[in-house]
Amino acid sequence: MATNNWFLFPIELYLIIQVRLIRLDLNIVAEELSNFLKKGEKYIGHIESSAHNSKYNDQILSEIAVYFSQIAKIRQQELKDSGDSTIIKTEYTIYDFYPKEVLSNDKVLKEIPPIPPGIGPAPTLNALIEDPTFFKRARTLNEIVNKANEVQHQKWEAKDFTRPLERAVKGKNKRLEVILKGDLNTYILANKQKKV
Amino acid sequence: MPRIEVEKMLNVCLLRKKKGYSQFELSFLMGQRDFYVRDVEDLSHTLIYSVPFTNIFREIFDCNIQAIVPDLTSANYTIQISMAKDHSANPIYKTEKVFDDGRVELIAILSAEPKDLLLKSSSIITEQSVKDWVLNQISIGYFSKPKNALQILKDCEKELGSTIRPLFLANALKACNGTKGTPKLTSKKDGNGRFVFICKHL
Repeated sequence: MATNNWFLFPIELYLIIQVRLIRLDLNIVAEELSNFLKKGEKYIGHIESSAHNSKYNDQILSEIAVYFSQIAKIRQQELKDSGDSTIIKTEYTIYDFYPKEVLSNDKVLKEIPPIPPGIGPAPTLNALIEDPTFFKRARTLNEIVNKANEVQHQKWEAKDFTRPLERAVKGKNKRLEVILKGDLNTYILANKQKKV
Repeated sequence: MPRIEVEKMLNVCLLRKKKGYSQFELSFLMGQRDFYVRDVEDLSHTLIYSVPFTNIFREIFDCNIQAIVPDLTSANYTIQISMAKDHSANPIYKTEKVFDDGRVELIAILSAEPKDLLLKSSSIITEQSVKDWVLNQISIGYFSKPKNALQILKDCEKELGSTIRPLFLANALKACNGTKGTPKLTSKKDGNGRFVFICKHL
């Protein structure tokens, strides 16, 4: 099937990538953000897909900033409750999505990197979960760490993924299921995501 | 129209007035049709400044994003708009900030401006100088590649060493229509949706 190539202004593409980066960092599922915005479940997914021409406007960006602040405060509390003294950013505004510099005004191909470079272990894991291929089959912790290190050119260890994995297999937004293979826990996409 | 779009329009309106640009002049620099800004500033229209224009405004006004896009998460005011009609039944909008403590602050009065309006400007460059510059640029092949109005304005200002009125540039470009011995500049929209000027034959 032929796919369309879509062209956006660099600022439009920048906003999509920046919102996605923060969304992955805050461990927010695209559908969850779509629901908050009172849009269809695939609204954010379409914006973040190079197969669709969708993009953000300032009204939506403003609402996203509100949601990111709400969720960031919850994440901060979770860290505190687990004895982690890390301080994270808990207030977001629309300016967190815009570039500091003026960009070109010549349209570019809409290309969204599936796994944004330069991000930490938790958002890398979240991006791998959203990748349609990686968790299609059950993965051991070792495979996950190796894959993350390969795509991000890092030397992360298993402990860097313990908490993000725990979060991914629990709660109403459970995205991975644990399957015991021999003595090892393996992780595979939870049923809901298999259908996507 | 969403509040953020109204406030963005008002911010841009204040920036353009500060710079001495009329509605037509800003439309020209944005690479849009003559009455684009006039229609955005007419609150009965649904036309808004989309995200890509924010980038262009930053170039035009040499400002940061905060000067254009409002942060409504910390706003301690609402926007009040009242409308009246002038003697020709054209709408005039009075826009005010009403603060939580009851204070009221005028933002701007919006109405349709004549196309040839010249707002107060510090520019000292004459219309003839701009015309001469355009003719010279045509003769040296500057317009052999398409140029948008903002690019041309910046190049002209750089060479003449001072700010120029966009209206003078728009008039100078328009005057090059191939009649009375003038060279012919044609304008068309480029792939980015902005009018560009090109001289095909010298």
